[in-house]
Amino acid sequence: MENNDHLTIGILFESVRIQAKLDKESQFHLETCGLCRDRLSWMQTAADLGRQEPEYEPPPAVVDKVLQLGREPSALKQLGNFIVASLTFDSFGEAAPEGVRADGSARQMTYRADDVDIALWLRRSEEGTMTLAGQVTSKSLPRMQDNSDYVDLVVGGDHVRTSSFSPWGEFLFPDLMPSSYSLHISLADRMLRIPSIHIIDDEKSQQCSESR
Amino acid sequence: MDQRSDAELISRCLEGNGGAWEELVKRYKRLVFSIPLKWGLNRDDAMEIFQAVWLDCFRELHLLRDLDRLQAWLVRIAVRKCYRFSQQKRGKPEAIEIKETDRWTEDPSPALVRRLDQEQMIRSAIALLSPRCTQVVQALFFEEPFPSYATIAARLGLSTNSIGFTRDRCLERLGKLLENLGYVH
Repeated sequence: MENNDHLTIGILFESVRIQAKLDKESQFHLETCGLCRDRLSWMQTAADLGRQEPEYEPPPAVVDKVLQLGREPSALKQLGNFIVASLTFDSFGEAAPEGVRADGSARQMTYRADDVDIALWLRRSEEGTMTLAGQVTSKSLPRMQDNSDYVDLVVGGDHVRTSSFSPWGEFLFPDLMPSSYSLHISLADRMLRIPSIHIIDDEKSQQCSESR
Repeated sequence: MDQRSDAELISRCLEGNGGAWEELVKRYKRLVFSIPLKWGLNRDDAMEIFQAVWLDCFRELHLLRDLDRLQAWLVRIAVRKCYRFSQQKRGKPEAIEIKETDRWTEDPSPALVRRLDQEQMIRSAIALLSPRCTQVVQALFFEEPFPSYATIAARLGLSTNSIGFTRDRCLERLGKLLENLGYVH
């Protein structure tokens, strides 16, 4: 068999289907022919996938729950109203203005997005882990009464924790390990995001840094 | 048959189009569900991971619209969730390699990513075939037990003599589509 005299796709398929060894001549051709090897490879992958694919089909009820997310007009509207909050104060970066406490044991930061203020406190526990506490306040949202509001702690797109709000807009994430976090704050009609809070494993470097 | 790109579907979602979300979920549902199963989790746990990944995806859509490949993002998030889930319940299976960069930023191994890519490309390529070739390829690779060629021919309204030609033509098309999608051995 000449090298440019390829194995037919039917022969390759049958060898995959019945898991039979090709004859010596075909084997030799395969060793030197990239095209036939590629064909055999994807057909083998397809055959393996075919055996497992029924298992990979998620139950319809679970898929439907996921699809339901896109059927809620309020959720889609909220997605379209996405705002990145801006840092307005950092106790490690400037002197505390009147009304903002900074006692050195915790780092305090405030952010603003539209008419919403977000206050954050980062404290180190005795065990060495960090606690991130916060409060969301807004003139247009005097009390957090909507149970659907929440705050997500996100690492690289992975929403690792969720906190609900107290009636006063408070939320809490205890026992945080060093990592680069962002916060997603879901309010009735909008999604606020604090893009980058780095908690680093170095007490001397003042517990955390904030990417602006 | 053309498929709308992930970026286009994400933009439609953000405009409030629920149908686009449905298309995205249907495109990648088996990929996402396969990851916890490959990881060694049971179906109940896999369902939990599946929902969590899609919930994150939904909440991150505004950040994903500029992403070239939603698929890579889904794989990364699913693997991370599997890892954390396994850490809480038990150790990871030996067969799975992960790159541990820090506690919460585990990344899937290149081998796992390549395998998932290959499988998803096969799904995508099949979705681009004509209805007749889709039927042939489904029968060839996805039916258990393998139906006889006479059965496949009867379904397609073909003579048994011509099914070999039809099979080869459909396989050639599938191979070509995979090549265009960048399938790498």
